[in-house]
Amino acid sequence: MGKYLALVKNFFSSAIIKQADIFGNILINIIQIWAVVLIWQTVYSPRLSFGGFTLTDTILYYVVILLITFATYTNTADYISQNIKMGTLSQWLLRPTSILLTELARSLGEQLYKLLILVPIYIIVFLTVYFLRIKTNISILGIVLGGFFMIVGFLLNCLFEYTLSILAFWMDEVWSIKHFKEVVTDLLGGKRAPLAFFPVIIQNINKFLPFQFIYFIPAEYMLGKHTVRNFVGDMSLLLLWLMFFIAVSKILYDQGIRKYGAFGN
Amino acid sequence: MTKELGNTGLLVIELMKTIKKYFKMYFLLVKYAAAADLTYWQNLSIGLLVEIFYQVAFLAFFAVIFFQTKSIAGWGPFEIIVLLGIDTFTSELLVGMILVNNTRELPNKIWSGELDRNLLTPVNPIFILTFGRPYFPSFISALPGFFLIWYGLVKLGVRLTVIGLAGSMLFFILGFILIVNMVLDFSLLTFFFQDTQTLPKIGERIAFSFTSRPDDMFGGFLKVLFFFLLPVVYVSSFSAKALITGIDWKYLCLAVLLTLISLIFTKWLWQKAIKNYSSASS
Repeated sequence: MGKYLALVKNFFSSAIIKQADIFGNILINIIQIWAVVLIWQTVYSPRLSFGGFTLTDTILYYVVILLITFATYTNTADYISQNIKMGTLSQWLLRPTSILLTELARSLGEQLYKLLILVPIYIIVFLTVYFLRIKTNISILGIVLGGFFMIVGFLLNCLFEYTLSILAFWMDEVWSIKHFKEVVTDLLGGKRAPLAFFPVIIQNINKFLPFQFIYFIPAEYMLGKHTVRNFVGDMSLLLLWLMFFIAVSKILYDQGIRKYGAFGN
Repeated sequence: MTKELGNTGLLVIELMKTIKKYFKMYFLLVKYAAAADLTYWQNLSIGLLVEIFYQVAFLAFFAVIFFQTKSIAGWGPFEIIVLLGIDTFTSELLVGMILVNNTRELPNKIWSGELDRNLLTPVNPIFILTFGRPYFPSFISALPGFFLIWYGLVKLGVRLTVIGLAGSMLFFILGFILIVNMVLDFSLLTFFFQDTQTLPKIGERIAFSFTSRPDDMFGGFLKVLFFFLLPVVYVSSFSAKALITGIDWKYLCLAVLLTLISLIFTKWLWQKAIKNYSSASS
């Protein structure tokens, strides 16, 4: 465990060097979210609510989604698939560490720095909502549960990308699959719009898929739309998906490593 | 007076020759990019599929909105489809012509000193930095935009007129130049803030996020921002309006004026930026 904590610390230190980029990325995501909020403001003009969301709920949803986007982001698929493709995975194989756990440590180290900047901002945001007495269901318990699901959502996202990255043992490029996964996750994960806005049939299918745990479920807890009553059901399904990705990635990895020649290209 | 007219005429002829030369050069660059990409046609196919996935997801977002409402700022679903068709074409051209291998690479080029090579070529360096390496798959994935435009117009029962089409194309060309200048301006800030890679992405994020919005959405401060300072409304929204309802001459004149101002501003910024550049070797 100590070696992985040391890795987290090292990658955290590397992330600090790129602080200008982190602020740039925050600004880029704010612009994207703002554009979406503007369109919903226009749409809401004649109506009070959609799918149980008022305009205030929708704006707060996107504000929270911004935090979750940073918290659950990972580039595991790019990182590992490049190492496999270039043949540099060999260095990892010689280390007394698991590739998966090393990659989790790397992603976590990089995320920690972003969260150090964002969490204080969001504390201010939530306090502002409280002191302005904006009508919401936000509570401290909801924020804690949302934070918990955000962390586990990050883990799920890493595992998902790790599973995809292993396809690099067989494919020249996995970036297309990774982009496809991103597009689907953004849509069915609730980043583009709350899942409650989708047609009921899509909502019902999506309830069993893993995408919602990356953005939507953490946001629902933070906004108080999911409560402790939903916890067991959500957590059970999430654990099933975690075990699924761990199992599939292990099977694929064991098959792939036999094929690996460290040639690079 | 005759002499002055003669000089002006010569200047215009020189300008036309220069534009023709750069068009020929760009056509060659696209040809080479196509040849390179077509050699690895599997990668090209996959690249195209990815671009189409993004377009489908983009349309799905608007489908979700129209699942909840009948209009956005007075624009019905088929008017929005025309707008999105033009925006799809714009976005893909932006990606293929300017972003992927060009402005996004500027921070790396400055940092590594590769920019020196571009500055030494006997070609306008802004041209090389902005258009030097086209990304061919985007040119193909821009084509579905035409289908969306056609579909929206058919559903609206709009009969195209020559003036409407010409006006739309003029708005598109002027709006595209405005967007390119805006993206380039943000990219050029990298010369002043060299420890960041994200400045080019800020300009492109503004372009991608707001060109797909109807101009009627913006009022007050937002109107000043997106009509004048970050002029994103002309390329898609006014272009679509020209096809559907006719040309708004007031805004067409404004677009011409803003294009001239933005060209002058970008040239000024480039000159300031290059003075600030000290090359990797020093």
